[in-house]
Amino acid sequence: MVGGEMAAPTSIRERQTVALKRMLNFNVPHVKNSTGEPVWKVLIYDRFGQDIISPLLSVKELRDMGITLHLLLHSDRDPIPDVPAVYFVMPSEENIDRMCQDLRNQLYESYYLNFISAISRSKLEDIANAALAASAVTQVAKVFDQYLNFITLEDDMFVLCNQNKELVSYRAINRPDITDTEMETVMDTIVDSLFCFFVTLGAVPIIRCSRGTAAEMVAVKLDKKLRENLRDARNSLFTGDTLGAGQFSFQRPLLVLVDRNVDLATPLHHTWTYQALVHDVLDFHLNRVNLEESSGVENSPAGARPKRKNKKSYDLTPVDRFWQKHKGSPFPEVAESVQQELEYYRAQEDEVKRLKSIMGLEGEDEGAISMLSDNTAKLTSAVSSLPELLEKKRLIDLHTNVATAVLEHIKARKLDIYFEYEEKIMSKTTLDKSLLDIISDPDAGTPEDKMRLFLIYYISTQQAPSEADLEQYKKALTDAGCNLNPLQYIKQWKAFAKMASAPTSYGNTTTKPMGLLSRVMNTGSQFVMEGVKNLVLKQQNLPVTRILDNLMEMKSNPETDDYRYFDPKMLRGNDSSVPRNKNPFQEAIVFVVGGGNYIEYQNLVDYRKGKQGKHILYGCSELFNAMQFMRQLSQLGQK
Amino acid sequence: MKLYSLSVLYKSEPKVVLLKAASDVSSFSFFQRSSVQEFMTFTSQLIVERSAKGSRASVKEQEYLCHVYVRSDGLAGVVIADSEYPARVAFSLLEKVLDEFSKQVDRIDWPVGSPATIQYTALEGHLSRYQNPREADPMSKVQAELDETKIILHNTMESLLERGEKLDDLVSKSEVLGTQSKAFYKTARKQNSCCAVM
Repeated sequence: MVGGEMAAPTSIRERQTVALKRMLNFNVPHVKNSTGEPVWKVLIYDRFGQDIISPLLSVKELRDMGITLHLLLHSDRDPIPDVPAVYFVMPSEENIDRMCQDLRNQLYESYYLNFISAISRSKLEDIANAALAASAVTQVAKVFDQYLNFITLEDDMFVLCNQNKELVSYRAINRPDITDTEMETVMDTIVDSLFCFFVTLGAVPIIRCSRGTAAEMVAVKLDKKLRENLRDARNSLFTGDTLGAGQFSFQRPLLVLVDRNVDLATPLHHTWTYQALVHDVLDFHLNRVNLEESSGVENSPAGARPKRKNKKSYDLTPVDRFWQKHKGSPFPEVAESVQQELEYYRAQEDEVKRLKSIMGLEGEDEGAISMLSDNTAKLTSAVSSLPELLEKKRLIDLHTNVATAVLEHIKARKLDIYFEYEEKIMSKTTLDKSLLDIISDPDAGTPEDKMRLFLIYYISTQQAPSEADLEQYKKALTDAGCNLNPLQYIKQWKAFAKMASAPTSYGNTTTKPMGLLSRVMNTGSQFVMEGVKNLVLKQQNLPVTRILDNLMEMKSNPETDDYRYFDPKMLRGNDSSVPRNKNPFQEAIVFVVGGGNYIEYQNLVDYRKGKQGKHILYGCSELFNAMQFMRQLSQLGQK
Repeated sequence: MKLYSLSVLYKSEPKVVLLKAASDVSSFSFFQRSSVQEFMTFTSQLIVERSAKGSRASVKEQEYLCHVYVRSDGLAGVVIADSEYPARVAFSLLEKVLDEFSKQVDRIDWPVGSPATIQYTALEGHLSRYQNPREADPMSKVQAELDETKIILHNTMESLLERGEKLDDLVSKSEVLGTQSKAFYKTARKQNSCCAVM
């Protein structure tokens, strides 16, 4: 994959993949389709490195690059003295110690040391000393700072890290007992990753952020770091060769730093699109979903739990065409599409069978003989499309299993009701059912579902409920088995975040007539959606999307008018919030400090569809689903 | 139960001068602390402005209770506490602090003083000791003369304001609140939120 030759702009995923491949190719640009066998090598990584590589390169692709063996740094490794080793690790104390030990133990033929984020001078000297002491200096072939300290999950989505996400979690940033030095460490960790991101992207952004928040602190530090690097003429990472050709070369991208506290309803929301649902109800992590295959569903008063059987894992990748097409689709559409794919596949399979049986009659049937030449061609194409068919079958099976698992959750917990109700709350439409009814209903939802619903209500409501009403709700929630700690925190939060307490209206969610649903049911689909409402999403902008829209299109809005403005390329630091640039931006990166989720990401993707020629990337300091977020809120709300 | 701030002010019509303040913002998140502090100062000043000399009042605002005692000589004290903290102890604390203050700081300094110039250092200590009311002020020490029926109760900040006065305007005109705090407070005009404010 050679960047400059591509007609389409290179996404962050492609850029990071290219950087990794170059690293694996002994830090020389990798040219695809080059003849000759790759040089065999060993890859040594730490858990940070593993998390970065796994969404981007499959084991097969690693093998194609010549990696015969890949091992964790802190594992027992036998010497393989005639093979070069490529290291991809964080420059931490323990890692450096282990690498020095490897040098002393003469494990490999040569060492290519790659650090995920920049290594300090003193640690570099430690390695040099160890190499000297082991007489291994000549074996240390290359030492590189890779600046790849972030994880890319989609063409247009990234997260900071996974291993130490507790350090930079929402809770870590918002807990009251944090000291100044601890906060500095958190911020520095976030800024280091963002810096790596922009180095890999090859662009220096214009930065906008809200005031008085963690996002502002990140902005100030990132601006400073970019500025220092640009001024350092010898070591600047943003010179001609690293700058991306294509999309970013003439226009600077916009970086919008948003604080999670601007919208706490979206992380708790029940959702209706495929990818977001998978993340919400299943175990979905770094593009891998882990299923426990169930043999059925047992209905119990508290909400069903599927019987546990064998475990299965699937990787949801860019080559999965069904996933790419439908990850943002409403669930009923997904169910129907899987059904259609299955029917289409069966038709193709039948065609192949038919041809095979015709071939079997060769020589016995006159009609068959005359059809032979036609059929040879047909059979040839059928046979050559077999791998394609097999792959299709694999994907159909995969998505059938995943969608079935999701559907089981939807039916057991009545998630469609929660979704619809929350949409109504968030768009301030009149509610046909009382909140109390849903909370007290033993058949609808787990205690966590009910808590999510109530928190969204509490966050979104203009008038705080009266003391008496609140007590009533609290009692109903406790009776349903809920833990009330998150509410404690949200009450505190709401007292300060008035801007966030008036969320955007979402518009109405209408229930579409039976047409779509009945077709799915009538064709004997295994997706029996009976009793599940076929809800259609009306496109409205979530708060983060709204903020982006204001800033990207240079719209005046009280919410974003006094956002700070930073341009690291300008000679003198400018603290005004008056942007120099008056033209709308063509590219933007939205980064949420404090965590984000797929609902927000999908909303941005949908927003972008309505804007020709614009590129929008979404990033967050950590990715959590509602349960994980509630756990953090609960810890914050504990007295 | 918790105390958040304790301040001593002087009411010289029409202005109110802040003489000394102590606060405990340890229960607020990192980025909220400075704004919270500013708001507590703003609120304390506003309450004293709108309370008559020789009066005691408790103003409820969401989760918080602001207890104020304005002496007839103009010296005033405000305690901001949570709704659990016993009001009786709060007023006893105010009485004690103002008494001590008036003995340590010359009357002449009151109308023109500021936290930088006033020499009174006991406030932080009082605030921290009184976090535990039982320890700081057992029932036996509460002055019997304190007649609770004379304490005016306000259910919101708004009830302190004069007709037509808006809290929004007071916030934007305030010299005590920094731009950040004001931005923090600003309601999103689009949605016309009418949330009660601290």
